[in-house]
Amino acid sequence: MEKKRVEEQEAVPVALPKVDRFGFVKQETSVTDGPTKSRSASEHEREERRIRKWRKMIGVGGSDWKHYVRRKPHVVKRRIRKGIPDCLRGLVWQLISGSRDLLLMNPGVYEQLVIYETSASELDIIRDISRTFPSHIFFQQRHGPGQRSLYNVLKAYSVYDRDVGYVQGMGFVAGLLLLYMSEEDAFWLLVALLKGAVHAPMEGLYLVGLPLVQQYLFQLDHLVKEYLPKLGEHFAQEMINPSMYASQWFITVFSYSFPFHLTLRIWDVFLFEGVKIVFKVGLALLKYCHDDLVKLPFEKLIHALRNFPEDAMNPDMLLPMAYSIKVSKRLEELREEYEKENGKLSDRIKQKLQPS
Amino acid sequence: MARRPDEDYDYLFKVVLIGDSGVGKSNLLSRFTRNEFCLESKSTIGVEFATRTLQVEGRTVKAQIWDTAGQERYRAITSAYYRGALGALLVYDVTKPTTFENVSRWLKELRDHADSNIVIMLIGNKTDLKHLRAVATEDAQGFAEREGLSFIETSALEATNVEKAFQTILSEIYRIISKKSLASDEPATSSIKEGKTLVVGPQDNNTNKTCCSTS
Repeated sequence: MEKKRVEEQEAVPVALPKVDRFGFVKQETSVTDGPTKSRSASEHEREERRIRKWRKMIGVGGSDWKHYVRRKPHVVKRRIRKGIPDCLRGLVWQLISGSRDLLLMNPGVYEQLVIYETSASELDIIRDISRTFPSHIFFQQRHGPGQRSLYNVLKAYSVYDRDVGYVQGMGFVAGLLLLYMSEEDAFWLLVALLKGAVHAPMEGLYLVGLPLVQQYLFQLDHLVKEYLPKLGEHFAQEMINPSMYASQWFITVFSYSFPFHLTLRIWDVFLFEGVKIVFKVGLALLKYCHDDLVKLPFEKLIHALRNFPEDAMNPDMLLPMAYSIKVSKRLEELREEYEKENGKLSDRIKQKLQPS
Repeated sequence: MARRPDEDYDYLFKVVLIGDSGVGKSNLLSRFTRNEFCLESKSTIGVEFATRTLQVEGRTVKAQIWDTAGQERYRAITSAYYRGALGALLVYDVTKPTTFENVSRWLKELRDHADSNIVIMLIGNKTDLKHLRAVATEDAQGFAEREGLSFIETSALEATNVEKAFQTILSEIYRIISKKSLASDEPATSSIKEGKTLVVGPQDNNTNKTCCSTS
């Protein structure tokens, strides 16, 4: 057995780093990278059936998507919540967000932005390129194709939307997209997320003063107190507030430091249902770890809130739990409450954009 | 609330790490608290946090350090963390003049949001990149003197002066706290939580032993 393994290793011509199924370089010690365990024949068959269903639903190149969503939105929602098949993920993300239409309506624009325009954020972007998914094989090579694409997308966006420019955290979002689509597609999906005409789930998120992040943190603070009162009280006692642990949840939609297979599943839902899934997943994590968290003092608490145990981050357990938490109504009420004190988001943005 | 032995300390000092993005704040923190350096670290989003307990002037001090995202856009979130901080490590990169030029803006940030008597230390990091140095030690030294800041140059990568930087600022905070408590004739409870004191014998004898050791 041992001997066989050695021979197998010798057969590999170049010593490539060991990566997981998503392309992240494996730590020597880490054994888990999501469900990589060999699938049984029946599981494989089920996955194949699922892909066929999805293909039928979206049609060739996505031609039937809009029609299907209009006719059976609940079926689409249910299927997305179960996870988009990885081989179709990039395409479906573009269909959900409407970025395909943006691309078709703006031929040549991306190229123009990349080649001819200069951005005030260029140095900021360059500084962060090697600090974005540094453990992913696509982004590791200095000036390699991954880093170049990431730079191009971020630079193009910073020119396209000068009010936002470049903000740390955007790199993780762009990087995630680039693992599933071409540069130009990733750029337009970023545009759809931040400025899309139909629904832009991240609009306002990165603006000066991070107005939306502040609102989300306010809403989360209240939701924790209402939904998990005992933990909310413990947080208050230990002087823990959501900015200490949840800023990254909102700013990168869980793409900064969560297991990648979980991040992808959250993104599937995020694109279709919007930011409320971030609240739901956050609350589900806190709920799952509730009994441990309420016992911890300040420092250990902060550590725990940034390092959730592996079993808590299993998507097949965590996501159903998240779906069962209803937040829409309260989120809306809390938004109104926040706006009463701080003004409407559009006004807050306008105010921030005025040169000080 | 019972405190376990490893959590015993005489003082708890809150310190913030600030400065432009990419100057090495997170690596200074990881070098100081875990003796680690990561060449492939991610940029900090929001705030990070770490602690270390150490001996300062013969007392057990727990340093509670908040590491903040450097990009200007994040100040909306990070500036809340200046409140209650007794010290600030203001970091620039000795190979990037703009990060040094921005030090004045960071000082203004502190004046606007932090307590007025906060102890500030200016840190020029990345001295290991000798051939790329672009900010002269004397310039930074002169600036620090004019502004009344302590100053040190460090390399988080080579672990040069990192220990000393933290020791120095914590000692300075300690001296101010203990002076204040002496003046007001009250025990030094101005730190956030009071640890258990008087565990070991006569503490006054310890002072010369641990004063600002150069490690």
